Amino acid sequence: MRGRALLGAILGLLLAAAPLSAAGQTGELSDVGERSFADVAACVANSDTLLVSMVVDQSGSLQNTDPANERVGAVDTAIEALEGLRQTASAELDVQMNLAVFDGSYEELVGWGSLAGDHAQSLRDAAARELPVRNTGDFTDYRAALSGAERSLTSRSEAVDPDACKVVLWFTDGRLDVGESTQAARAELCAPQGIADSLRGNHIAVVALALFTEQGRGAVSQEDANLLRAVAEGSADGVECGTTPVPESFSGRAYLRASDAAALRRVFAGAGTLIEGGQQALSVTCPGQECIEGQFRVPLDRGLSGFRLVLDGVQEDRPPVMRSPDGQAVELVSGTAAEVGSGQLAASTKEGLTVVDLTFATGGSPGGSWVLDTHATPQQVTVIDLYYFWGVGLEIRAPEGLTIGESSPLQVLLSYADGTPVDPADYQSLAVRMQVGGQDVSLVPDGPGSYVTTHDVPAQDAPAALEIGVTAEAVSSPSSVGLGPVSGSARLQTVLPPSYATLLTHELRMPQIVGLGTTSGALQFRGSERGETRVCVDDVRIAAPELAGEVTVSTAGQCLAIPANDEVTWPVELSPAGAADGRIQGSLVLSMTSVDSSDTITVEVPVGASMMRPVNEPLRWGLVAGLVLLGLLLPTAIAWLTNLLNGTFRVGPRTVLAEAPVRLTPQGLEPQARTALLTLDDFRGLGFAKESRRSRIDGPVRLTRRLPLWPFGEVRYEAVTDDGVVVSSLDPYTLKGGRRAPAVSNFGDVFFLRLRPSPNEDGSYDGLLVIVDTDDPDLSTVIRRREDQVQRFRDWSALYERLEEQVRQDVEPEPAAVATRKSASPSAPVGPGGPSDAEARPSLWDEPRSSLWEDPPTRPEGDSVWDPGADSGRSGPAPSRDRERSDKPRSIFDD
Amino acid sequence: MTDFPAEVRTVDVRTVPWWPAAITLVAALLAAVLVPLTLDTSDIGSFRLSVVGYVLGAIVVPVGVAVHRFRREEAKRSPYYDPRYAYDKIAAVAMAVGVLSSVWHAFVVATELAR
Repeated sequence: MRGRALLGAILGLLLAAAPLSAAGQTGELSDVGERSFADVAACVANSDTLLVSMVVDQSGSLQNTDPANERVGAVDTAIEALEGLRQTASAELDVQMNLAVFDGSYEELVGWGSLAGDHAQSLRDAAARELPVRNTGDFTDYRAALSGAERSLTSRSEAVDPDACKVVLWFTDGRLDVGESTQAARAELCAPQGIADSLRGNHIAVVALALFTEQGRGAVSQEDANLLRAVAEGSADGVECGTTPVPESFSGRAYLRASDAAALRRVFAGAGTLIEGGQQALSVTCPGQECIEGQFRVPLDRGLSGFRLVLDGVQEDRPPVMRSPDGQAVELVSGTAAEVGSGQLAASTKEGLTVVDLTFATGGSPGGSWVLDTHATPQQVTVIDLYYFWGVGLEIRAPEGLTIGESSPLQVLLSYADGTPVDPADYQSLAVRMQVGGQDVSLVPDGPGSYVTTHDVPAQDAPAALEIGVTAEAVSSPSSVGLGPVSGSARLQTVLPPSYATLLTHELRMPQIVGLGTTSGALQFRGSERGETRVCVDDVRIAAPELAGEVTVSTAGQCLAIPANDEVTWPVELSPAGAADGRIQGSLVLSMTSVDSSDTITVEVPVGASMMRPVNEPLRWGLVAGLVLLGLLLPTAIAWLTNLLNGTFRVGPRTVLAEAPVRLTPQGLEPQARTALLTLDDFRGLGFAKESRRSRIDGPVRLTRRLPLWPFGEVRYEAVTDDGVVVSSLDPYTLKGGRRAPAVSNFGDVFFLRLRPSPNEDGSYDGLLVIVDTDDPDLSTVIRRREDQVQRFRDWSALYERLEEQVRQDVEPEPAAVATRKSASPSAPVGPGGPSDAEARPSLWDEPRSSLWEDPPTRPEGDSVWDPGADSGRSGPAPSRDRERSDKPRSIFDD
Repeated sequence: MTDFPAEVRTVDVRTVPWWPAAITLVAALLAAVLVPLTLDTSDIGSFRLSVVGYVLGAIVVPVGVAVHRFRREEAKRSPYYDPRYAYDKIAAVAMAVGVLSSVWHAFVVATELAR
């Protein structure tokens, strides 16, 4: 009866209460949402405490979606609606609220407090002060919002009222976005026994209020919108979140959407109205088809308790007028409170929203059509949202108790707020359905507003309490307004026969386990009047997340003796082996023994607790950074090492170097002063004692490598000379003004020319053909192969042009140098860079120099070719293949 | 009738072996396949799989690529080297897939270790 009284108070005081909420844009409220709001309204009507956690998005996308900070007014509207609810419930309902924001984390701006007193103003002030500047967050982490709200609601509920109705009003404008971990966040939210299930299982109703624009910056895709809806409602267009179908025992959840910031106040107001038990009926624009010339007709059939109109766009200088069925007209200005017939008419206006409430506190409306004259014109339209209040309450009773092992009657009473039974004759149809323990049960009418059935409670494995749910739906007459569902639920405790102790605990709902820990609760018994009885733990049926490992349920002893008439508390502790996320659910099967120990009845008591492992965020991101760094450094280091090892020339005792005097013309190479391009005498060993890798090979040209800065790049090989010009057989033949030439690690594929930088009079260049090779199987083969290689080379013309280009390029910046070069003698050529350059690097051509060759090749006497050995000023016989050398390679002269 | 030179030489054509690139690709694909299986970071099974994924993506793949490059450079020294550019592409793609996958697995592993 208290519930009906409360609802009556709510509806009655709605008129006197100042501004209540406006209807929101509720076109998208689903069936699930409707049922959920009905559940919340039923909970509110039957509880002493309503805890509302308002969680507001503070992500940076709000700068695009809500630049005018409309959410501040929307939060204000919600506070006002809930304040009105508190006022209507008078002293019986304590509405408490906190305000928090979220982006990548959850932050409470205003702590919990009752909306009585100054707390509502504190919330408003904080919203006005903080929310406009809270729009720079990087992420939109639904986990943070919901987990934070769950923790806050759970702890508040434990502190003030374990049976409080708990609601999260969760406002967001963006898709789930946690950077790289978005998919992980989605999984954490939506996995069975994940965060969404945890809230539902903890009977926390989630009302998602979405500002999802469809265009412009900050627009959210349908898929993302569906995800939010699924997080709230369980599923949406194929997207599922949490255990689906959502178990009946889970709490309600709903999703409301605004497509632009201006509609936010209406959405928030709609949420408030729906929590009160209102039912959305119509949303129209005046003038229009359903509002001709600005006249909106509201049919109010018998059996309805009233309606609410939310008007957006009312002309300030021409307030709307409401006309009753009997023609009485009332001008609706802010603060209007008038008695019209047997109804109470109230109106309030705030910041552009006008809320009109008509309520019949006793026995429903007598019927008739009400007309609202909005004075709207095509130039100044008014948007009207219409909500009906059925205003009936449900009471579930077991008049004779639910005795285990017996058949007991169950009764449902359907009545108006003042206790007047509902008359089915007032409706086209009225259906009342009951479920007991999830099973449908048939009800039969038993007088005005009364429906009855009987239920057998089994003697074995009997539940400690029966979960009974009832829903009522009706269609009004004659306007065919769909009403309901109005839902109510009750856990009616089963009763043991008098020779047993009475189990006073319906369900063991234990506090949340954070990290590794335990949680505890207590079973309460009252002893039988007939003597001492006994209870033992017969079985434990527990399901827990895998990480929780084995969950130990311990009691103080296996059995407990319960003295006659005594109230006894039996502590129960849940100890999971490990920390985990999710819920521990199951039951304790108690074996109750009668006074004379002749009979035993087993009773099942549900047990549950949620588990959460807090993530150490700094440690997590530190580890991520470390592991990612390791994951990047490792391949980088391996690539660098690979280059270091691979970027080498493979040499050995049979590695030989040949240098033969040649002349380069555009048509090709020709030997100087001899007929053969290569002879055996041109070869010498490089003196490597064993097979090895070398990053450089010195000789007439220095073969070297260049490691890439980017470790995944390729190693480049080059032939370098400090004197003259070096050319190779690889495109582009020569580089850097002729001082470098491309090479490859396999020196057998390439030949080099070290040339004098100044051409002869006929344009040819004198120099050396330089070859590094392996005398395998013998030098004759090498000579044949190499001569063949030179003969098959077809790009002499390109090579020559490239050489000319590089030599010219090197000389051109100093025009004076060109003149000097032309006049210079062949024995004193001008080096690259002009005379000063020649002076700076005279060694090869003019002066004795430090040797490039350890073992210069023999040259024919009197030969006119450029002879670097002669230039070097060395004296004594030229080394020949026959000379003994201490480091002579063992292979090249041996057969 | 034409006389051809009698000398016919048989040479050993060197190519880079296929198996380093193949192993690298398989490891990278496995690491990538493990990503959708580890979306639930609260599940200890995800953590175990992610450890495997991280080792595959961040260690096995780079090592495989290194082996491939090493063997390729060795083969290049032969005058009869026959390049296999497709293997290089496979190794490069595998490296990208492996490293990217390992970033995700690193996150899952870090999340579990930070609990």
